Amino acid sequence: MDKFLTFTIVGLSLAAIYAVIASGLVLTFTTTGIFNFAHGAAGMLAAFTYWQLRFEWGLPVPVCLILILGVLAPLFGVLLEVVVMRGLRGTTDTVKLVVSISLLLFMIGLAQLIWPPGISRPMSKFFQTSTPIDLGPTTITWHQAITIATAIVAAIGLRLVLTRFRFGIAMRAAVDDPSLSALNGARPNRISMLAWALGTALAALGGILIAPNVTLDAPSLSLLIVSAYAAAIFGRLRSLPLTLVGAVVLGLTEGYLTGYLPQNQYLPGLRIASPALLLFLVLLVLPNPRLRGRMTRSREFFPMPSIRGTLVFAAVVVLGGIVLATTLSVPDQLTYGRLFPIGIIALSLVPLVGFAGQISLCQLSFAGIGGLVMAHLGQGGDPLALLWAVLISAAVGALIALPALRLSGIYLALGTAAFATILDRWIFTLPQFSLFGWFDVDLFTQGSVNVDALTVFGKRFDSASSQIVIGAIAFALVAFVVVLIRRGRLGRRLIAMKDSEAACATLGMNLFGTKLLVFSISAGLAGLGGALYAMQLTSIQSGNFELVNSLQVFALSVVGGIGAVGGALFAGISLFAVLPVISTLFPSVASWFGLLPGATGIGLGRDPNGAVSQMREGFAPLAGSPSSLLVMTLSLLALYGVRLLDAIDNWTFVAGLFVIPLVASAVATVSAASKQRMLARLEDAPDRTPLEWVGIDRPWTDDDLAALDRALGTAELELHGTA
Amino acid sequence: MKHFRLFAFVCVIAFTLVACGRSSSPTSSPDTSSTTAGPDAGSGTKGAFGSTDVICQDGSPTGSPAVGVSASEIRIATFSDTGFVGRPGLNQELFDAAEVFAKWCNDAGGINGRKIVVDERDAKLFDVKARMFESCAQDFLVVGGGAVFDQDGVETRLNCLMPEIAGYSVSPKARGADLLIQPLPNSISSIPIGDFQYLAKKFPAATKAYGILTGDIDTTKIVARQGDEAVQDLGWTKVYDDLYPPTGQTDWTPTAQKIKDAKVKGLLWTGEPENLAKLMQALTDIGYQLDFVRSDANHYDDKLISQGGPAIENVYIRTAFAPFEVAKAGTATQEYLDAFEKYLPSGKAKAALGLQAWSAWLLFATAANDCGNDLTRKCVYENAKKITQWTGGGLHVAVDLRTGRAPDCFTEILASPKGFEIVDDLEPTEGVYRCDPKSVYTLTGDYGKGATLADVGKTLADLK
Repeated sequence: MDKFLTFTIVGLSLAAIYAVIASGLVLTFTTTGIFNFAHGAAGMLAAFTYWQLRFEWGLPVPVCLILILGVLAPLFGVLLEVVVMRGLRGTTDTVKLVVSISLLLFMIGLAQLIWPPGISRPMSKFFQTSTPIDLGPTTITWHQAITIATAIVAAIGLRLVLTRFRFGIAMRAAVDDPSLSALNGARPNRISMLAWALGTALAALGGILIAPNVTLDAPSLSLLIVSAYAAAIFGRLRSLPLTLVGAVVLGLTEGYLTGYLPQNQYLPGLRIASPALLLFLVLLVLPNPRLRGRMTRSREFFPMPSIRGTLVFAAVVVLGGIVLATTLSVPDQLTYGRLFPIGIIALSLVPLVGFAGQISLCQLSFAGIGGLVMAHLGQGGDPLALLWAVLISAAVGALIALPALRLSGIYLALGTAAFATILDRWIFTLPQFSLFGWFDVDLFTQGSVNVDALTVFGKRFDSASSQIVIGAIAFALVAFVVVLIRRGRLGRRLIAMKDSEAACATLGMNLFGTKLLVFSISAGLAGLGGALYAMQLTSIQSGNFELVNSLQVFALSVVGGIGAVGGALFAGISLFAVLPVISTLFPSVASWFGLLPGATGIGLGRDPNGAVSQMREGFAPLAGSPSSLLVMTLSLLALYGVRLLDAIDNWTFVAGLFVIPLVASAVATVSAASKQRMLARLEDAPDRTPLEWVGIDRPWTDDDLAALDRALGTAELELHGTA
Repeated sequence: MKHFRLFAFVCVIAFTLVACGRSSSPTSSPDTSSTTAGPDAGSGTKGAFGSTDVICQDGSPTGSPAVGVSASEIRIATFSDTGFVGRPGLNQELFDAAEVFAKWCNDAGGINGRKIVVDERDAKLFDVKARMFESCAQDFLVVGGGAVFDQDGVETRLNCLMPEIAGYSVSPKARGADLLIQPLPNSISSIPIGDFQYLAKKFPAATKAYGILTGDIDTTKIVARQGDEAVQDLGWTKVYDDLYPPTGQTDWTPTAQKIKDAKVKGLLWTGEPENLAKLMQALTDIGYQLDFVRSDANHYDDKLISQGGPAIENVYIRTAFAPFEVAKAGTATQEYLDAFEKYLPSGKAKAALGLQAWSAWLLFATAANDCGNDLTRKCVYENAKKITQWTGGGLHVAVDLRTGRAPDCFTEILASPKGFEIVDDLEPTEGVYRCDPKSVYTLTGDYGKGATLADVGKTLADLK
């Protein structure tokens, strides 16, 4: 009995912390529609600040608490709202998600910059030295008691604020019907600022309560608090009372699992993964949401890729691979070669996220499965194992599609993140086990497994240079496949689904089959990328495939432009070329790198179409100027030749690679402009009619229709052939 | 690259743990030589450290007998992971020790006149192989370093026939590798059990109810399983065996409660100090006291006491070196601290890894000095490999480098809120160390195996 009581108290104090954090999350989500992945990180920052004020500077406890909960945290919340979140209106769930993930990464980087890791930062609990309160059969520490009491007070306070205070009522009004409340004179900006201030203060409170129990460490503290998100899902991110119930369930489950789970080597991981598992289950049984119609017009636009353009792109990628393989030293090849397999993993997101509008935060987990398959079935470098890697990952991907059939947006993101966590914390750490007695599975033998290099017809591709070329060719092929999907029937179905699931269902489209297919394809491609990645690494650990890596690849692909294959390459290049190059060039600022990926993502709100589309626009004049294009290609080839002869070093070469296209595109822009002026002089009335006035200001022509078709990617035949 | 991970965190723990675990391997006092006793012969003599002879001295070197060796300098690779973005500054002590040693040795004239040039190879966790490739092309040896994912670089190193004198090694593949010398062995085939014997004698009742609690990381689990095998062999009775999340727990009370319910008297802990501190607090909170908690040398760390405060009781730590607290003028330990004070006052001197790295550097200098002008990898490797009583100039217990077997001496530290001190009933046989040939246990279980030259199609005869 005393055992049961102890575990109940532990569960309740955990529940209290979860409740405080989750209610803050619900508050910001309902008022602004943004699920803040960085909510936990705000709590983490508050915990560090509390340590700084209380234990480093020795301020009294009440002063610290008032300063943090009453001043700093709310200000920080307001800052977030004004600087970051306000720019996100009218963007898709994906973009919102990437921004908040980037914010999470940014805050972790910031904390590590201010409070360098590796130093002991002891934080005592409240009334640590006082004797625990005696409850007869068991005891409750003052910290536990305070935690539980705080949660109750916070819950009552929230209730009062939302029902008795003017701005609380305004908040609820804004949740119920934003436009109606605006018509009634409520000020939406002020309401959301208040919600963020209050939400961040709650996160800070949770962070301060949880930190003394664990080591003050930025990444683990931020991710620990993520467990609280499961509680918010109980309330479907709307209902505060249900969120509290969810927190209690979650806390007690964790408490009892720790206490009553039998001791054996397979189950500890289950306990660690229990919040994720619970989250996954809750998502599965949540009442089915209505099919999503098109609610907001998004600012996103990805043009249809042309076959010719894709072929050129593929050729450039392969050529790029060859250039890397021939100019870099072996160590550099090992460092930079990883950009292609990671690029393939990012590519796997393009059909899923870019075309179909689904979200997956577990691509690296699929890659891990692919890598494991390659390690175990590909001994001796059997190329057939690559096929197995694709097939087995695709099969697991289909499994994930099951919850996706019912979920979308942020729920899907959380579901896939939960899946990744379950794999990370439990499945990948399992010792050897027997599968239904058929065969033994030993995933990561003693932490890491070796992966053999590909062997085709007795030729072993184990040199770093040959693996770069293989990676580049594979990337080009996968990119081509993705473009074919986009141009084909499936691609149109995916785009339609992204636009409006409700409309698709009405028209009789099989949503089930389509989602299943796209998830399988995406997982299969990620598996292929993982297998190639594993081959380059030669030995893999579960750590290579963690959720945090998935978050980075996801965020950077979206930053690059998730609707186009170029965006995937952008992710690969950013992670494994740009960052290493910068850290080589400017080692002194290396500590700031933690901030970079986060910072780039945060800027996404400005242009949801991604960096690659901006770059492409910059180079667009080149396409219209064959002479500039020719000169550029020849100069690049000449530069490469000079490099091969060792007349210049790699830095000069890289500089040349940047400068030549820039000059060429500048020349092309100038010449295009002069051509335009010439045309303007030839024709009296240059057609400058804006698109929306075509057909009104001047007659509609077949050329306009053709231009429209080109932009929308609708083939002439299908639309007009039957007419 | 910017893998901020959790994972990183985990790795950090893993390496520290294991690194130290191994490092903690018992001490041997050099029975025969004068080396053991702290107060050493060499101290004061330029170019000699502790009990070593003069190992760094001037000379008139000529020619370039091996990769990385010129007439004026020797380039040595030191590995660490300081640039890992998820944990900036990770294992900085390895680079610090390399820097201090190179300055100290070069001040005395270098290795027979050749100056030591340290190439810091920052593996940033995931770039071990790339850095090892660079080392193969540029460096003479790998000395005094270590990488969390060291298994990634072993084959590359063997392929270019470059010996390593390790600061620490983690994975079984690296720990058991060929062409590797560990000044304080972290063997995969034997472990020191002197502290188990000591604890069994002191707390006979506790051996009838011991428990195991381990961080859920593969490298950590291997260390724990090895210890478990050894105490089972000693006839102990296990009543509890559990894992904890490597990232810590939000509340340690349930774990403490389970330990109480299982009536555990002695706990074998394999983890890291912050988490042990939290567990001890939880045990205090529910009013349960253990006879002992046994832990590895990575717990000889101020974090244990700063985080645990008054709850730190009965925590026993086995180490292979005398604690810094007992360093007195004239001892090798004090000489080591003085060198840091002189050459790099901001460096992290009081670290188990730093001390271990320092021993590796001394071993390198000792072996290289004996090669004279004709400095080759083969010569250094063979010179180092034939030392039977290596004590790091008196820094730690004696180790037989021919076998790489766990040493049979150790010292036991008791942690308390006041700090760390050597237990008063150790009955040391050599200086501060207690030695007994029966204090080494030969493992029978399968804990992985090391990479061999044969794996990459080479033999020892290829070493030049």
